[in-house]
Amino acid sequence: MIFGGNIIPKGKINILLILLFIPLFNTEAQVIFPRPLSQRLTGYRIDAVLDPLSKIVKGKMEAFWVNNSSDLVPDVRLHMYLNAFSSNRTTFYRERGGSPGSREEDLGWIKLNSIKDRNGIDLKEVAKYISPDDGNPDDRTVLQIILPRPANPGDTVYLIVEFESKLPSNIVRTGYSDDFFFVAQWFPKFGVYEPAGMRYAATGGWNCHQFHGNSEFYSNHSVYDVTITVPENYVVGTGGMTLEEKNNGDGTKTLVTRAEDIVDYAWTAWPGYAVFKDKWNHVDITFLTPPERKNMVQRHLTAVKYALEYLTENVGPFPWPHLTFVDPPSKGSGAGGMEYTTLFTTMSAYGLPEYILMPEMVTVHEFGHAYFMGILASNEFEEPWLDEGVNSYWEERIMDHYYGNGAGMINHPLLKISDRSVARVSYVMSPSRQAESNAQWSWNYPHGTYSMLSYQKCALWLQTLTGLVGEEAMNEAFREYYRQWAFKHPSGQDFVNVFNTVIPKIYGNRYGSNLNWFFDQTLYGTGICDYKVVNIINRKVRDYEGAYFVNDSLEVKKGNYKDDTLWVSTVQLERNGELMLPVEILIRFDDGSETLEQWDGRSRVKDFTYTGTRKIQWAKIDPEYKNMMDVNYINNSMSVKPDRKPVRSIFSKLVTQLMLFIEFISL
Amino acid sequence: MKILLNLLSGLMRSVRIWKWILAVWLATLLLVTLFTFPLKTGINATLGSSMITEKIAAGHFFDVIVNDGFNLQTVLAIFFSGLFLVVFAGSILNIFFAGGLFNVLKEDGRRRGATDFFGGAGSNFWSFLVISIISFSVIFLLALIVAGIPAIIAVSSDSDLILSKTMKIASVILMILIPAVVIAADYARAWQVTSNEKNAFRAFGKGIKLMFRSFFVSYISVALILVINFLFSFFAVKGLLYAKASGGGAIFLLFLYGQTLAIIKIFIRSWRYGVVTSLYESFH
Ligand SMILES: [Zn+2]
Repeated sequence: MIFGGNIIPKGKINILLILLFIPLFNTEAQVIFPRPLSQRLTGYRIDAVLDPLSKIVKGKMEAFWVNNSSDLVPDVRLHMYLNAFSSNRTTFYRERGGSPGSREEDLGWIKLNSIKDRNGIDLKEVAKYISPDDGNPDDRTVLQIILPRPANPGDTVYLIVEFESKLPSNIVRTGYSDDFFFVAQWFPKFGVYEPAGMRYAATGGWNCHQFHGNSEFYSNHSVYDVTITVPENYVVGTGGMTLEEKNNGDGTKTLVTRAEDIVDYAWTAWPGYAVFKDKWNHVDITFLTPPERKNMVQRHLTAVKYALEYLTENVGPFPWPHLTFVDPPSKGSGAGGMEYTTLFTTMSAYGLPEYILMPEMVTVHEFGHAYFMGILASNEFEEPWLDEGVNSYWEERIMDHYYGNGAGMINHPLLKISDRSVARVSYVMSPSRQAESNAQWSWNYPHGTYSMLSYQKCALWLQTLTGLVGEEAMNEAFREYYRQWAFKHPSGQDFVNVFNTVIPKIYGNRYGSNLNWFFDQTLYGTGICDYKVVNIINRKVRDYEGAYFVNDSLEVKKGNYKDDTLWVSTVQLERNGELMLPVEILIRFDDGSETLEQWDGRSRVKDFTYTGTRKIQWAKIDPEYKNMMDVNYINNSMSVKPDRKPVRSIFSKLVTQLMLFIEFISL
Repeated sequence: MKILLNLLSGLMRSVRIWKWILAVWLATLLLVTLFTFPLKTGINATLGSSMITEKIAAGHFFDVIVNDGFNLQTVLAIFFSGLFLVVFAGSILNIFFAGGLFNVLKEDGRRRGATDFFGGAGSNFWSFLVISIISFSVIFLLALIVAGIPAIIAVSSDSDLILSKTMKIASVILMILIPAVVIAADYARAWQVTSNEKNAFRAFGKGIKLMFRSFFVSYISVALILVINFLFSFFAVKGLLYAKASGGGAIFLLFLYGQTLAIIKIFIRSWRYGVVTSLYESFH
């Protein structure tokens, strides 16, 4: 419901809001930041009470949405995410398969007990569930409220809601297990009203998708004033800054929290958490973990500080002074590995050896979302790569930077796996790697390719671009992306546009007047990349041999091979894949000299020929393995005398190990 | 003193039959090579003249095996099916040779040669096979009871710590119980090679009975050899895994070193057989 239907001139809205709504909303009060970082078109004040027995969170919420467009908006739309867990017929479970469970305690749902406007007018009658994406009548994850009077430009719509959120037992990001609670996607939440011109919107409208099996979220940056009441023995972690914690004297306690300019607010409660504190520059870090994983604590804290440092330096500042992250216990592992900007969850396991860097990787990854899902806040429903792919790229850079290049995932003397080659594995091995481009909405990725394409393939072409233009140029482009688009919900095209201006600014025309040729093939294309060395030919330049004519008589000359000293050496290259990328070729000659050639990679075949006293010994395309899109490294190089010793060494060891093993299991 | 004498007697007996220990080694080497050689040739052919092998030396296996040009699924299928077959065949081979080894380890004043080795191997094979199956079944059952059930209970508890501690305690208990099964099996086989009646179940029953005839001495002797065997295997495997050989000569030397370890490993097993045979003979 809009407020009174008044038309408030846009510029004056803030002053009027302050004058009129202070009792209701404290959105202008600056608790954390001296000045709002975002437009704060939505805001929430929620009093939440957790009942650990019924697994229900009872909430009283006052929320607002500001019509920042020049449209007359007839409705508001709210995400009711928890209803995705209400049956096996919801879009979420239809797409995923399976069921949230058959017992009442397994199911998750959100129920509105009352919904009113600011004047107490009941809106329940004008609220109805819609399924804008697939028309599924069993899906109740989007609520539409037709406003009694449309919202005029500049109007603020207030909702006063009493709701009950039942958490599901099968934790997919959100839910409970016994006395462990992860409370996310838990309150009625506004979609994003996109006026014409924002992202791809031709006309203004609500961007409020249903909850899908493979999809994340999209929201305005908001102010959250949330109080949480739980039994006093529970340890609570939230996405907000805790302003006060008071014991209610009835066996419960209440936390008063506030968060500014974040896109989502989640919290967790479990009596078993151990709490660890740390600090990085202006950021107070809180880490919650099962106590038996105490030898993992330092690993997580170090990882998050690395990520803070690296992203601050190469992308932009992390503005919030508070950050909480959680390693859920085994029974709550379904909540692990998820991001809510100032709160995120990681993963680890008791006794995990130090050379397996999975816990660090998850911490770095989920923290990184504070930038791409939190600060930039792109639409994860429609452009998942812009968050997950870009964030995976930074995760790989951070892991490989701090934990050993080429060993950012496994760093063991016998086996080293870089974080970026894990991404490559998943792309190269996928039978469906060409099924779709990155320009697809998250639930439309066919044949289970959502994560492979939107995380790994995207990270791979960003790595490939890094190989082309260099890390510093990438950093510059990302810094500009941050400067232009922080807190403004960029689209993929906005991302491309930033690169199209920054890279030519650095390199002039070296990579063309823009990088569309690159993005068209990688981001918007499905082709694969494969360059290969087909052959190396070293041929002696022979002394003349054969017939020659003196006047009319024919004479035959025999060659004098002893005097042949010149070689014509050719390396033959081919492009097997559709992708055309510039590549370097390193060629080594038998006199020890080397030459580095450039090939624009456009033609199907390419030969490099040399005449001289030296022969080609070997040739390597992309000698530093910078082109991670190449699906076959094996044919990237060729040697006249291939080195078989590494394989021989492995097999020699294998023979002995097998004999020892057979002997070991023999009685 | 009795323990020491028996250990020594077993050792001397094993030294005496060194030829047969080498025969077991050679047979195993041939068997394993039958599997690894074609695999190596195939992988060399797959990699062709590529220089990607430099990634192997650096420990970056993923960049080698995950490529369109490397048919990983096929290679893995061949590797694991071959691995299963070669381990299975190797175990059967060792069961067969155990009959021979037990037969030539006997000391009854007669010189023992090829007829005794292969005769003992052949005539006792089926019985030894069943004794092995019984022993492994017992070990499997023990593991299930000692580790499996507590693990199921521990999993339902909150803490990873409880599970990990349970598993640690369970493995210690298993480590204490396993030598008893081995001793019973060894006595069963020592008895079997002297008996004309080839009946594995009767032999295993005999084995248990004989074990309790001199439990302390048997347990300490065999457990000691098992511990030596375990430590030896651990360091042999670890040392080989970490050994770096890049030159052609070094690779060959490493191979020779590894084969020496393999021979010692067979020798340790024969030592145990010898100790139990010596104990068995001391009962008469
Ligand atoms: Zn992610």
